[in-house]
Amino acid sequence: MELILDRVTKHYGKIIACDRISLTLRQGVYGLLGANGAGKTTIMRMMCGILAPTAGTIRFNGIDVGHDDYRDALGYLPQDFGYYPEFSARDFMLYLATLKGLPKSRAKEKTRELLELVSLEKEAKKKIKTFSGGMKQRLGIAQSLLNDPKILILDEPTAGLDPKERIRFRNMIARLGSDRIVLLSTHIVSDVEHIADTILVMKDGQLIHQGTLNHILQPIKEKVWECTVSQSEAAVLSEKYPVINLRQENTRVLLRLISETKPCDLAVSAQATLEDLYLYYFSEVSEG
Amino acid sequence: MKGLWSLISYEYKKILRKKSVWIALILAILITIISVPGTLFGSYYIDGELYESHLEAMVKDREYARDLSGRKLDSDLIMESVKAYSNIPGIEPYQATMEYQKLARPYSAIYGISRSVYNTRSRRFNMEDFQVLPREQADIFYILRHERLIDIVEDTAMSTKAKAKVLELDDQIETPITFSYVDGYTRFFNLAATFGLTAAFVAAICIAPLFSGEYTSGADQIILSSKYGKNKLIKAKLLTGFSLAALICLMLMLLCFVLSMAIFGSDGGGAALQLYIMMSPYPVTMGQTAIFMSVCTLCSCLMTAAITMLLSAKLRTPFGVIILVGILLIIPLLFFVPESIPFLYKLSHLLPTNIMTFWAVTDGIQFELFGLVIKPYVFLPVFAILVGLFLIPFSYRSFKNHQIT
Repeated sequence: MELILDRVTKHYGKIIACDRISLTLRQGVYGLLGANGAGKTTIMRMMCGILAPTAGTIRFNGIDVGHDDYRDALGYLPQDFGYYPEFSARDFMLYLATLKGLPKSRAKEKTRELLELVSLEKEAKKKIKTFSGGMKQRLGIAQSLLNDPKILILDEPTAGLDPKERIRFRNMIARLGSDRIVLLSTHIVSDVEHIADTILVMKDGQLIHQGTLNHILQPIKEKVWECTVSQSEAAVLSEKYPVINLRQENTRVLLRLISETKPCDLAVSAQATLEDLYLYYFSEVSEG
Repeated sequence: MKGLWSLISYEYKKILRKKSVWIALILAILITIISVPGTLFGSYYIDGELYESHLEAMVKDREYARDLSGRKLDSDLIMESVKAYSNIPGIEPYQATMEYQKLARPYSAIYGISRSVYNTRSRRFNMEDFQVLPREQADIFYILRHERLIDIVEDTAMSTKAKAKVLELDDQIETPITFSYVDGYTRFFNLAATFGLTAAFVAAICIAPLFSGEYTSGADQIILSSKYGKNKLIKAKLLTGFSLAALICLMLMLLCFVLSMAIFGSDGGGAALQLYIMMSPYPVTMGQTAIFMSVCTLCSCLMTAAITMLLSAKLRTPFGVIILVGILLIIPLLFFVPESIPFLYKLSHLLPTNIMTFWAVTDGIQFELFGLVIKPYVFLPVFAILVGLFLIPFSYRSFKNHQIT
């Protein structure tokens, strides 16, 4: 099982949304990190065959992304997932099951099973327009699993879910990665940290890092520091080093920053996390 | 076919679960129901006095026409009518006279038919002329008709071959024509454009979201990334669009036909078309003309559906599609291209709204293509179907290649 992206590029006029991305995905969970506009959704759309690359190829086990058999192996949850307000959850699932080529009896069975999995079995006959954001998101996750896909692409799957549900789905996604390729993008860094076997970091349309959590944290390992300093000292340090976090503590300020060397006498080394890496790389974008 | 019918049923579900669709359908049915008896609303007034209601007049004239049904429209019947009309005194309006009501009115249908033959370019044939029509003129009624038709045909910009073809068709009309009451059919002919236009517009409202609705809702992402999203689903959507347009058109057509026959009378299916349009060169019956009108209207609705679906696949919102189709349907109502500009005249007949009109379907001017002379009631539906078929691959490809950006 191999999904290969070979120099995949997407241009919008002079704007480069994705720049020669080459990647080989095998079974497991891949977490895609990047700021808004980094090209995450663009690459995911190209992997789903709904956006044609300007250059490059995408193949799953040798099957081109434009082929019906590729889509047969695909499950996709888009970021802004559209639905039919007058359809019930069950109708919607059965409709998508038909679109995915499931026979009627299998479609019914899968629909029941998946609605139960996402805790929507009691709401199966209710119209989707009556659903909350979280319920719609759960329905979106359920539909992406209808055809038992070999490639599962989830764009912000846990958005809109309450913390309890988020953890439950996070664990579910981790389990799904045991026998398929799961690619998920999210802004919730801790989700990626907990479930992704491989982390992909995108910036300005380029894949700047890929690897396991340990591997990806290498650039900032032993460079994360925490110190509690005065307001004026905090201002000086903020100017000098990339600040990951800043918290007011009475009259003083707790700073978490990245520095090659100890930034001040009071600074103590802290364990590097994925969030540190994310904020380190994307602080400019966030501030912008 | 696996899954196709199921996908079609879901497309129907998407359409029929919208309130706007039901409102449009109910309005279309109401428009049709009101249009059929539309000419019967109101009353005739003579010198400010209520004389009779339009309904009473229709019932009375229908009885008079039925009394004459089955008789040959020959010089004897024309002279019998002339004799009846000659009793009317010279009082205006002559319809107010007892002589007209008692003696002449039973022959008013014959007078109406005769006028179109006896009218000349320089003089309009009126009631006074009819009162004194000599027997010799009545004897040459069909000769005069043919001569007038020759004049009309010669005045057109048709080729010699087409002109000969029209006159050849006219020669096939059996004379003398057998008179019949035909108002049920003529009402249906006149309303074809109304129900056709209504059906085409309502169909456009229903099917405009077929493709563009998916773009608006954002469901296009899930659909296009599914196994059948770029093949079977598009076929299902196209079949849904065409079948729904056909169903709406057939429903309104049937309603209009049944109401026309029920209210005005179903007589005259086998009568000659010339009883309605005396100068028509086509040797066809009222029933056959009703079939031609129905086929043309249905094909025009299918052509409109094809245009709607193409726009739906191209545009981002259903609203824009409805507006553009609305403009396409309304424009022919605002402009009339005269016969003196032959190319534009025939071209204007090819617009969906005009394809449904009685005057376009039974127009004496033939379509000429690659040396062939084709009757309008043959050319127009074939053209509409070909346009529809031509547009299908464009709609198909447009949705299939739709990019989510």
